[in-house]
Amino acid sequence: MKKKPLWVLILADSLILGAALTVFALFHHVLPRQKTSLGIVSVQPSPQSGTTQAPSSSFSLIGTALAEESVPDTERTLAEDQGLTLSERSCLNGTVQYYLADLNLTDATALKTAFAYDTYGGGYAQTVSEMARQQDALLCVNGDYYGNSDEGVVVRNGVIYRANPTDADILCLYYDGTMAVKSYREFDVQAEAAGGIWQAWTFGPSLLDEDGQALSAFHEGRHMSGRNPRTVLGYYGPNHYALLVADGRGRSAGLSLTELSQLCEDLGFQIAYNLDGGKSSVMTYQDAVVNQPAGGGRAISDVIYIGEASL
Amino acid sequence: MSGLRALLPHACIILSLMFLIFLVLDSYNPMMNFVNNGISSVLLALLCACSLASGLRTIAQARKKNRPPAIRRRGKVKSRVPIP
Repeated sequence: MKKKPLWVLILADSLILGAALTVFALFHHVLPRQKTSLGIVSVQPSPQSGTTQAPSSSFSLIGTALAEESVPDTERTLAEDQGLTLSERSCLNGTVQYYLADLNLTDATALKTAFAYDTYGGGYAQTVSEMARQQDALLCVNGDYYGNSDEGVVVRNGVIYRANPTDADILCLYYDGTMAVKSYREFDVQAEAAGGIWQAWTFGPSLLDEDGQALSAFHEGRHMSGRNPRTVLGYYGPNHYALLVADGRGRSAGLSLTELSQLCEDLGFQIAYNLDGGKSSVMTYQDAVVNQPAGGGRAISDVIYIGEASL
Repeated sequence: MSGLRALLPHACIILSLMFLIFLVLDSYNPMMNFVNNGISSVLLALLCACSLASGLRTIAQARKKNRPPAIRRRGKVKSRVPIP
């Protein structure tokens, strides 16, 4: 058999490599495929007499109080609604632009989540704006992009979809309005279902210690620690949350995990949890994109939102 | 069979490069889970199988090459010394 020239072999191998990577990408994260859900429904604790928990049909936002916090470099209030204050701010000597939505809810179930195309699976992706419109969301941010991975815990609106092992921190939100960061070892599916879990996200890392102080080292090293656009879910106390989106890779420099951690401490969060960032970091308010997403944003698999109907 | 043998090293190269690319991507975006997913596990098993077959073949060829000519031809030629 006649020997082929070396360049032909290299070219052929390169082409096959490219084709193999394309096929891998298609099956890994492009082609939509439904996933099997655990389908465990979390038990909502029955309202006790004397508590402030409202029935699910009348969730509403109340109050406008911002948590005690340090003064940012600049601050401009963009919107104020019942219990929701949205402001545009800058920090680090004006080099970083971020948006903070302070949410003071009567009930944790007003903090909802949605899947792209309302389908639990991999490869389903829509922009934050599209999902916000579909859900009639007043305020909407990206979630943890659960569809990219089969690892970790996915609990959405009281249904446990997935509880696979992960080395990432897991953020849990309960019907009673409390939040907790857990490791997978601490996450017992049956106990969580009985304990009234409402949402759980797997991304991380958790940005603050147990006392709400900034961290310099984070749980596990599997995170993009450099300056990037960021989305954070913050917790002040029961039913009082914050959604923060920091712009990056453009006019705004973005935040490293250490800088983000310090910002969250300065804002007075007790718990702060890093969600998907980069191009995914998008915030919308009344169907308009509030921030300047890196590269114009991208289609993602899930969002966190406050519904119009909640007001 | 000879065609398959010729493909083995190329399969090893392509699969190895794929995994190197996955590792680089994983270091940038670990949440995408490029390395530790079902498809990658199958590819890793394929890489192991190809590497094993390629390695065994290389060793067998090397041993065959290093054998003395008489042993190499054993069973194929008659002994030069006539049996009385």
